[in-house]
Amino acid sequence: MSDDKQYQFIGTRSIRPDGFDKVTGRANYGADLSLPGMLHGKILRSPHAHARILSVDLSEALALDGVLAAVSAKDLPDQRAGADDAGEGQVDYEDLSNNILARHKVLYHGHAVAAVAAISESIALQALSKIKVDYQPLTPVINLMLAQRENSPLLHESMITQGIVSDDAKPSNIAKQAVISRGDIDKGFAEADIILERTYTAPAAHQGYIEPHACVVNHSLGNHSAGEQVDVWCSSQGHFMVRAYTAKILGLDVSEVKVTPAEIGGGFGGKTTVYLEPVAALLSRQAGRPVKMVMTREEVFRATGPGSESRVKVKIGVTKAGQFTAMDAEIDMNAGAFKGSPIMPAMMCIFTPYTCANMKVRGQDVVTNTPKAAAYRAPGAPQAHLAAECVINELALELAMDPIDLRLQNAVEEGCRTIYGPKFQAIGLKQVLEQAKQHPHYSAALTANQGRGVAAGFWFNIGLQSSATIHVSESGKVVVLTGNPDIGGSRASMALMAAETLGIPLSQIKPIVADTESVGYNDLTGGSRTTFATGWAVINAAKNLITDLKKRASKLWEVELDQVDWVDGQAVAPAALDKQPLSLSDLAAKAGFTGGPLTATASLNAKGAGPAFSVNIIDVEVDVETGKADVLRVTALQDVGKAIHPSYVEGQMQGGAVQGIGWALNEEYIFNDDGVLQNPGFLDYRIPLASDLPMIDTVIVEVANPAHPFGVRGVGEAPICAPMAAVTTAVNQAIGVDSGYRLTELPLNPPKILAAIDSE
Amino acid sequence: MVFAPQMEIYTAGVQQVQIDARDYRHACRVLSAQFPLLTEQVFAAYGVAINDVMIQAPLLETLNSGSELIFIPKIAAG
Repeated sequence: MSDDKQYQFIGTRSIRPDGFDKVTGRANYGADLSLPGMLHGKILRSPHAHARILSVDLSEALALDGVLAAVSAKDLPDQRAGADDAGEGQVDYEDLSNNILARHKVLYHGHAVAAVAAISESIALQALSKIKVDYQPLTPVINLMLAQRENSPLLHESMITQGIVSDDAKPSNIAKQAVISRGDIDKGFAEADIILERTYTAPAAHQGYIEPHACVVNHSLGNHSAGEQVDVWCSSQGHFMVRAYTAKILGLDVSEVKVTPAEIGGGFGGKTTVYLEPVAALLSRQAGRPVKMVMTREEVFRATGPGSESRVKVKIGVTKAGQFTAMDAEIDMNAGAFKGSPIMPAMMCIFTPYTCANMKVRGQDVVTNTPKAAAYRAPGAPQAHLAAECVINELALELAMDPIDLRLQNAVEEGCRTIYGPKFQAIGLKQVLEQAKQHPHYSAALTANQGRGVAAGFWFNIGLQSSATIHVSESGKVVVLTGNPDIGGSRASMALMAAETLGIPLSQIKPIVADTESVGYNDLTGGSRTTFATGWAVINAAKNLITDLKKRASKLWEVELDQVDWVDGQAVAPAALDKQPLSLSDLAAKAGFTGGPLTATASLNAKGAGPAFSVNIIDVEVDVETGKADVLRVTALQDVGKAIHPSYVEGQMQGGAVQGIGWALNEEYIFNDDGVLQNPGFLDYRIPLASDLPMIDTVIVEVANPAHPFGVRGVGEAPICAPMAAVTTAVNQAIGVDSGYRLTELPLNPPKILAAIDSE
Repeated sequence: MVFAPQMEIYTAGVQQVQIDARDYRHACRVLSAQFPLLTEQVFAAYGVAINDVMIQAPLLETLNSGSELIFIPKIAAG
């Protein structure tokens, strides 16, 4: 299904510009760079999940031969507490600094305490054993429920819950409370014929990027000023974010930090913050040599942010005719050691696909002695949708109604008001649901021990700041510079949009991800914003270039500017003027005579991001002897606005489905009573393998975003919103649920499924 | 003018108001005068939707008669 606009390049499946380098191993990732004289940095991590740091003694480590630097939090400047604006959201730099190197307390097992740099990795590891840290262990609080108990130990003794007004507010592990609502929830439930209430839980789950965090940092005294110069090469979801955070943590100006992006081996939200770069900069500053730091897989699990653990209670009322009358939810989300779980997006997403007049959502952001949670694809939405969508499926069962029909009857469309305020402009939820219902998968027969789940998901998508620069070489080749790491094929989509706007072949365009000093500022790659916002900057830069090209053609032709048009990649004049068209190459060759080199830039803070809706249909089969659930068939459908490069759109949809399925069936952080993660590796933390899954079918629905020149919405987040609920429903159906879902605690691993079967 | 839920602690529970304002900045000044706890720092934590268009950086946005401005928590994503 697609819109009616015909494009020459957009919507084609071109070869990705970075593909050859990536499949041949030539592409450089974060850990690939080496510099002359480079040292190896390592971090000492806390053996306690909760403890006071009484002292840190680095002297013995520094005395070891081959060790050139050792640092602790004392080497970092103090940060002011409180939120600062940081592009897509706000960041508390005091918390960020304390997460990078613990200051007074360690707040999770694996929390960074000190770091060393040495001439070899083995000496660096030896040096870590020489660091003396005196701890006063405290009782850890390792999950949502424990953290909220009346006398639970406090992580932050002075933290008062935000969002409540009380004269006698006491410190708490609840960082924030919020409520959003509309209508009259009690009246809504009074109007219902059926009311169902269920509580679903999901564990913390890691984004599972294959490439660990890695960087090389070289500190030097500035050559061009009295300041410092910090050069960073690293893998991240936003090198301008790395620049801003590193500068702030070190007390530098952003102009003193240059970040060159490496290729990124997966991020999914987990690389939207910094862990190593400021530490490597401190070590490099002390040693006077470049420092490389690469996390082990175990460090990635123990010390970087997973998606939040959640507990979501949902209560929905519906009439016999299938009209939702009331939707109520209570959501608790685990932020980990520092405040800032994605509680607000979870609250804003949970019921947004539906039109119900009476809604109420309460949320709590809770801190625990576990790694600080990080963004994970559509942060908060999958956990929220898990509960709401499962309850809707169960209601459909009670109503003897098709679950897609129930959704269609209540689905939002253009003009519907969201629970968080604005009304929707053009959206495609109904079209996606209709496509799902018509899909052969939905009517395919199931056999014994098999089940099918369907679920919908929502993500806002965002705009934010982007820049693009276009250079045209003397031969007419076009270099498109942007500042967002290429995570999902953005080089290709930038090139396609440039080609479409300029009307020139794709082969004439070279898309580059430029460093922080070679292109204007770009917010990070996240929120499904890059194709939308950075693509828009590219389009605008290309339009600016066309304006310049037309001026130059008018000069060469000695005609008025308004007589020059740009058609199919060349300047043309009315036939009566008898002028041969001038191609981009023609104009580039004459650029020196018409005003100098051809270059154009554009920047914007993009508004009008178009929301995305997704639907998943998932079949599973449960082995009743072992409790193992196998995924048999998956169909992922989504309104993407306009698929600039359909293959990469499909890749996003498939990837999101896989991650949601993994979260539903296998993935979880398992802590012991001391708060020590028991499964910090891919053998014990099991993400789905290709052999675990069928080929995932995709259906792209295109309802153009009216705000964007090509109708783009953004595709990266919405695909993970629905799979957890679809899988959970399918497994419950496969084990023979007649009424009432028995499995509500993810992951649905074999022991849990077997226990549910045995309980029959 | 519709406040985000968390802003209600600064507005004594008031959820929405009608004001005369020519642009976003003017609106913030008017709101701060009416609700002194609504400071620049508070506003900075929110994006807005103006007439249903989501805008993360509204500083220079103009308002017309009948415009609807809704404060929305900034959405940090993955």
